[in-house]
Amino acid sequence: LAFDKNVFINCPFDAEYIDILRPILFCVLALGFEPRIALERADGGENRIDKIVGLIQDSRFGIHDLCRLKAKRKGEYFRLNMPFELGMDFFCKKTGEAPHDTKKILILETERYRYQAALSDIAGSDIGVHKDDPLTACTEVRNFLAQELGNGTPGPSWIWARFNEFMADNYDDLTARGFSPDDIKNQPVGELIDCMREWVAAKMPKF
Amino acid sequence: MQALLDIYMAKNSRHVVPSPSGWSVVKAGASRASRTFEKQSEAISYGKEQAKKNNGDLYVHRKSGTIRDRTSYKK
Repeated sequence: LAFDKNVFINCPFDAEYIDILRPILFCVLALGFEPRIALERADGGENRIDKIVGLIQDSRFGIHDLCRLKAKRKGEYFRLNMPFELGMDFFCKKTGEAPHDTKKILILETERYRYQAALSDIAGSDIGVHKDDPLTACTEVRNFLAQELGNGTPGPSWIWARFNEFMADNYDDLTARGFSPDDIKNQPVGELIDCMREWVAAKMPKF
Repeated sequence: MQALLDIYMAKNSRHVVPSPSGWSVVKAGASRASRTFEKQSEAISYGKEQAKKNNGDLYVHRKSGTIRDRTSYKK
């Protein structure tokens, strides 16, 4: 069932976060799951809330990164989309019938205790802390999905090594297709996911 | 697509990648790092040595996994 393999990723869509998002997307695909993210398709005519509701309803797993809950600069607005969509996912899990009652949620944050002050309703929840570090984020997502896969799941270092190989191959491929370094850095997320999916299917050793 | 696969399969590359304890040199396809160093510069020196010895490529990655530098040592 697609539902059992879908992983909804709720995260910031800014230039800084792409460094965290890439390994998360790769880890999800490498472990045989399917990332679902609002950026996967660009359709200006599609209502944003309808799209999010659809992604939540279609996904057994939810990864919600609350790392933008604190403004970095004076005058910067809090980013409320992530906690809002986390609430929607919780509601679906808590009130939904099968299969939605089987949903699993991973909350990510930069630091361990900040979210308890900002979002005290979930203060008792276990969260994953990535410290804004791509390798740590990859490890947290791997550990979350490994609970479903059980023994035999490749270790964090193995997935990280494969991710770096993908990045090298993708760099070569995009460069050969006339992408500049800036084009590569800003490769649209939908395209990036397609490249990762193709690489995992063609190149990644089976585990 | 076949051409792309050929490129992928023909790789004999070493990668300098971040690791929890510093910087590792990993051969493409290997399960484990060849060696891990505290400093990236040390990992680059070792990776260069290995890439030269094996007529391969050396990729130096940033903390994000993006490519900082790529050098081919193919003869």
